[in-house]
This record gives sequence, structure tokens and C-alpha cells, in this order.
Amino acid sequence: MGLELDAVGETGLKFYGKICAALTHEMKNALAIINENVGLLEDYNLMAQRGTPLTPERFTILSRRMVEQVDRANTLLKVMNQFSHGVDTWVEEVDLNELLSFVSMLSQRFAAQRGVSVEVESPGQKVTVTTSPFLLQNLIWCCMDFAMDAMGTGNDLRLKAESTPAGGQVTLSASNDSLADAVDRLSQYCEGALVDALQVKIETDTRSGPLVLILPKRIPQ
Amino acid sequence: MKPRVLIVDDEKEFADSLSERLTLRECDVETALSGKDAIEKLSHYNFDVVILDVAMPNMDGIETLKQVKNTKPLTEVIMLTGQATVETAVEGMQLGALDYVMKPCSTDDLLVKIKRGYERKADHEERIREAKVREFVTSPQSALREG
Repeated sequence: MGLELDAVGETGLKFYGKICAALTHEMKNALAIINENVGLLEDYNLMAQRGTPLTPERFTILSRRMVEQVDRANTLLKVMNQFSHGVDTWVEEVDLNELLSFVSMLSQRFAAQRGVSVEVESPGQKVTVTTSPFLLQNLIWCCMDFAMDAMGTGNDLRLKAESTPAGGQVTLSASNDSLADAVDRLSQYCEGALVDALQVKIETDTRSGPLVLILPKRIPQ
Repeated sequence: MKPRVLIVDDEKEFADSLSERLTLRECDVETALSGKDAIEKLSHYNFDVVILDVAMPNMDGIETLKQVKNTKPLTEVIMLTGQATVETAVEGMQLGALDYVMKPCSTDDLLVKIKRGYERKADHEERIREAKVREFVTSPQSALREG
């Protein structure tokens, strides 16, 4: 018996795996820092037993470092939990500003690896469409992945959501002209079946460079 | 003599804590927060062992390893990796890294590997010295060819 995966399912699974791997890698980094500081605490304990005078300041530094890393790991776990629950309801009303902020959080590690900074423009108003939140996260992430590869180190990627008469739109713009120059490669990053499932139209302004995702007000349930 | 160790990791808190632990265990330690910073420090100081994070922004672990080996071929490199990047650490060993350790790492295991790297480099340097002496004995003019 063969395994059958449609294109949307396959790209979705790859996206899910990539994000989970990145989040757990970050958690491991936090745990590694806690591990080193617990080790230092043991070292200080041994030194104190042997009569080495230790200032309270040294313990304060260790406890501050550990509290910071516990907070960091806790935030990562919350993000991962929220991401996992993204498939609970397949189609629902989505606030595009919230979704952009969330995808931006998911892509932090990928952006840091490429030396790119991601900024979500502060929302003027709530922008809602009825769509599949998981698939839309996937599509926006694919576009960001393309943009971050095209932009190169030291540049800013800006994300913005706006209402349109027909629904909403998401604009990705780079601090250089790289998106327009690289737009021929976009199809390598975005699965056509995913674009079709979301009924999204992708437009590029070849003069100034932004990538625009035009979304319908509602996709069928 | 203490092993001279360079820790290269973009996680400052990790590099600082590990540095303090290794210093307490009689290592002479410095830290670098990027591959570029590491190469800069290597060009000014002769480290015995570099502990190198595989996943760093911009210049990653493999690129940094290549430049370390290019700058100081005898310096031993221990790759530091998360579970997902073991394949990269293996690739690093194929490119000349001595070994790898997984994060979070056991300080005792790391110290064993640092000691092995320190001894291997010292042994390699000693053999180069001996070869130069032999060359000088058989052909005294060879000394004139030295830089």
C-alpha cells in the first residue's frame, strides 16, 4: 500500500516540522544555559565547602540568568502550543495583524540565522478574513522565507495587513530592491496548490519591490 | 601549561557560563560571539582548542571551521551541537574537527575532549619541531629558507 500526500498536506507537514524543529532548538539552547549555571552553582558550593569566600553577587547573577532562561523557554513553549492548536479549527475568522505578529515570532530563528530583522507595521485597525489560519501561516512563512533569502544579511523585512473591499491584503517589503529582482524564484518557495486552496492572488510591484498577497473575505468551509 | 580554549557561540550567556566553569578547571578561556569575531581572535592568539557552535547566524559553524583550519591548521576544533545538527557536526569532523559534543553538554566529557585536543596539538607541534631539527642537521642551509 502506497502513501499518498497531496501537495497542500505535504507542504503543511514540512512547514510544521521546520517550525517545531526551530522552536525546540531554541528551547535546547535555553536548557543548555540553565545546565551550565546549575553546574556553576555546584562548583560554587564545592568552593564554599573548601573555604573559598564567595560574594552573594555571584549567586545573584546565576539566579538571574536561570530565571531569564526559564522565561525564554516558557515563551517558546507557549508559542509552540499556540502553533499546534492552529489546526484545531480548519477555517475561521482570522485577524491578519495578529497572524502576522505570530508568524513573525515563529520565524525569529530563521531571520536571525540570515541576519534579517522582521518588523510588523503597527495595525491601524483590525483586518479580518475568514480563512484557514494554518494554511495562511504556511503561505506567509513561505513568502517570508523567499524574501529573507532574497534580501541578504543586514536588511529589514516589513509586514503589513490592510483591509480591501474584497477582503484583505498582506504586504511584504524589503529595505532594498531585492524582492523585485528575485521574484522569478518565488514559485520555488510557494506551493501553487496552497495558493489555490487559500484563493490568494500574489502580486509583485516590479518597480518598488513589495510582494502583495490579496485575500478573499471568505473561503469555503 | 593550561590549555588555551576559545568558546565560539552566539548565545552570550552560554559562552560566559561555560567559560567560567572551564576557567575553574584550569583552562585559559576566551569567548567569541560570532565566527568573524573568532577568526579575528585566532589571528592574534594561539589557541589550542576551539569549541565551536554549529548553528550561528551569518558565518555558520562549518564556514567558521574552514576558516579556523585555514588560519591555524593545528588548532583543534570541538563542534558544539543541538540534536538536529549532528549531521553538520559529522560533516565538520570530515573537514578536520576533532570531535563534537551535544548541548546541554557534560563538563567532564568536554574536559576529556579538550585535554585530548590539547595533547594532540602539542604532539603535532613537537613532531614538526623534530622534523625541522632533522632537516637542519642533514642540511644546515635549510635554516636560511625559514621565513
